[in-house]
Amino acid sequence: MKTEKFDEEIKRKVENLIPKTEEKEVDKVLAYITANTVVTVAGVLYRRLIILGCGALLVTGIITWQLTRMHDREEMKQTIAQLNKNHAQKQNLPLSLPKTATVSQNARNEKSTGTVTQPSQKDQPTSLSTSMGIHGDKAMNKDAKSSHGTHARKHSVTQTIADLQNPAPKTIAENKTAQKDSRNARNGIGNQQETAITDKGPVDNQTENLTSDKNLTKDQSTTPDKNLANDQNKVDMGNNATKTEMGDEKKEVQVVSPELKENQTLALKKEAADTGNINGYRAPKTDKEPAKPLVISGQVGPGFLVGNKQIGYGLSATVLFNGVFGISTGIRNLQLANESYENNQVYLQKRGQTLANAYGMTGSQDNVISNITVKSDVLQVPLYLTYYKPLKNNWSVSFTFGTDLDVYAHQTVDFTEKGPSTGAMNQAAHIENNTQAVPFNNLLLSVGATKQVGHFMIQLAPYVCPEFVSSNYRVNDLYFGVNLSAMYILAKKNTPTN
Amino acid sequence: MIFKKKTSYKADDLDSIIEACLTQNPQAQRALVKMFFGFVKGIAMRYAANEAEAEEIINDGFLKAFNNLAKFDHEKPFKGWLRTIVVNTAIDYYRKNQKYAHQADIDDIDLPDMSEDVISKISADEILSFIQKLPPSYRTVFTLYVVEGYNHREIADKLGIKEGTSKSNLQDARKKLQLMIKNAYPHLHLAYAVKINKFNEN
Repeated sequence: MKTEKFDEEIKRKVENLIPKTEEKEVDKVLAYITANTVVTVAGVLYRRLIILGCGALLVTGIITWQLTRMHDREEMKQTIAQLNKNHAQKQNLPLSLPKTATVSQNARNEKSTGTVTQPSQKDQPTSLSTSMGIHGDKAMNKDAKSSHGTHARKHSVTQTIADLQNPAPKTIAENKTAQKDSRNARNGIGNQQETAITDKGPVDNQTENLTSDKNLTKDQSTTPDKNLANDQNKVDMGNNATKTEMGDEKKEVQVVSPELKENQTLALKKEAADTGNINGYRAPKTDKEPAKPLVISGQVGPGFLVGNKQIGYGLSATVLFNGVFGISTGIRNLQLANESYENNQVYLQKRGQTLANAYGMTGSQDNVISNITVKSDVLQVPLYLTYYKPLKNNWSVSFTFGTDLDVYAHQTVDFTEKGPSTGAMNQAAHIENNTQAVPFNNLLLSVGATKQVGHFMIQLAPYVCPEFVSSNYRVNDLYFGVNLSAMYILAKKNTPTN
Repeated sequence: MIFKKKTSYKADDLDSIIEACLTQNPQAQRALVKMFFGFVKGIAMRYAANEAEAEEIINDGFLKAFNNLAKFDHEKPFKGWLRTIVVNTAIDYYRKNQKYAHQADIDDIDLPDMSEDVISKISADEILSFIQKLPPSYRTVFTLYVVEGYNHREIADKLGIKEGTSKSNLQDARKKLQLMIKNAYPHLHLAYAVKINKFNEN
């Protein structure tokens, strides 16, 4: 017989052999495919991960935003209360000598600004620097001689603050004497929007100057001014300078009155707090405010983890930056719950391969394997980034994002074997296997509560942890649970406290 | 695209099943596996020593097919594409579990004189069982050469062996197969020998 014919006959026989298909075999193939499908960018697991991640980020973002708003409001209210308190205290003190004062007020529903500049006693006397000129000066000196005294001055300052906080139209008849000066001023400066008066007179004169200025404002308002009308209820925080015009010459005078500036700030903050428009408020910039230095502190302590089908314990360390952001790492032993399989067939269906293939067993293929229990221990290095949002009474909310770096995985498999190699007797068998650890296989998202007690920081943080890379020792696609840690603060605490 | 709509398919339309499989439709995957399981198993059995080995080849073969389904050219027959994948999977399996040590030295075995009539009287299952009893290196080379139609150079490239080794393994595989058939069916061989002797006497 020629080899060609032999080969052809063999080929014909073999190619015509089509084994029957059984449902069980199809199930096995599908189980294997499901368990070992390569994850691609468009793959199901990545899609699931993206959805979970987006959802978690959205929820975290909304919570953070709301908490931030609440915190800012509280902080603002406290600041306002403090400022009110300070202001009340200042009112009770003997009058200090403010160098300048800026007053904004409404007069007949139109706004105009009058400025009184008052030199301190040390200041050199200066001449009147506005076109209000001598008339105004004379009036003021005259009024100064009438010596309204300290009472009038106090009344004026109080009135100014009241005007700032609750602007209301003023009556014209406050000071007739000043009215005259106002007219003079109007004639002198035309449609000036802002006027500065420099006065070398005594402190007592200031009240009158201020009053006079109000009247001046009133008179000025008789000339329509569109720009001012638009800004009727606003105080310009950023511009403390008022312009003084002398003939055709413009002169800018820096007006700095700490007391009134404080009042303006107070008024704005109050308005922002009342309306809830936090973004509308911008604190005035101060050159003296120093930049916050980077404060680094540390925490170290034990941590415990309890979740679905897993429990862990370890030691972790956190480096805190300005007490707000923390980078955590450490070492953790994670014990995954025992997986139980009735027999090798069930194991194959769930894990996609037989026990013999999974652990390289060399025993008889005919042996029946049952009562399989798999226990896994994983050594992990957590890598987390945490943001702490401070709350009251040393509480804070933590938002954590990170992954667990699996560095070592060990599995213990117990099962019962029965077959020719065991003399048809049930025989307990045991496998110890160091399985390959998949370094980055999960994503941890956590929102928790932190409380500082003395030198300790106690944190309780529920977490969700989707798995995005399959490994031999993790069965679930999603783990969740609670992290509990008690950290000792190594450096001075700058963190999340009020 | 992050989200893909799951595509429906017709059970008797292979193209629609493949399209549905590309969207990870589990029912379509089941339909495809069911449709070609026998075909794939038939190929796998030629390269495997037993059912367990065949099962691994089948599983890996289907897995590769699904992972590379997007690369399938619809202009070409799916069966041929799947066959190539399964054969390559079997070769990979062989290379992974490579055992070059010959289990039997059969150089001294004479090639029995065997008629194709004898082969025709033996069932395909029995022929397959004889092939499975061959040592892996013989079995793989024999199947690739006789059934798949590769030449020795191609086989040498695929298995990472020398061309001469491929030829030698093929010849040894033939000898061993014929010997196994002779031992398993001595009466057929005897009847054939008597027939030959009578023919020679005439």
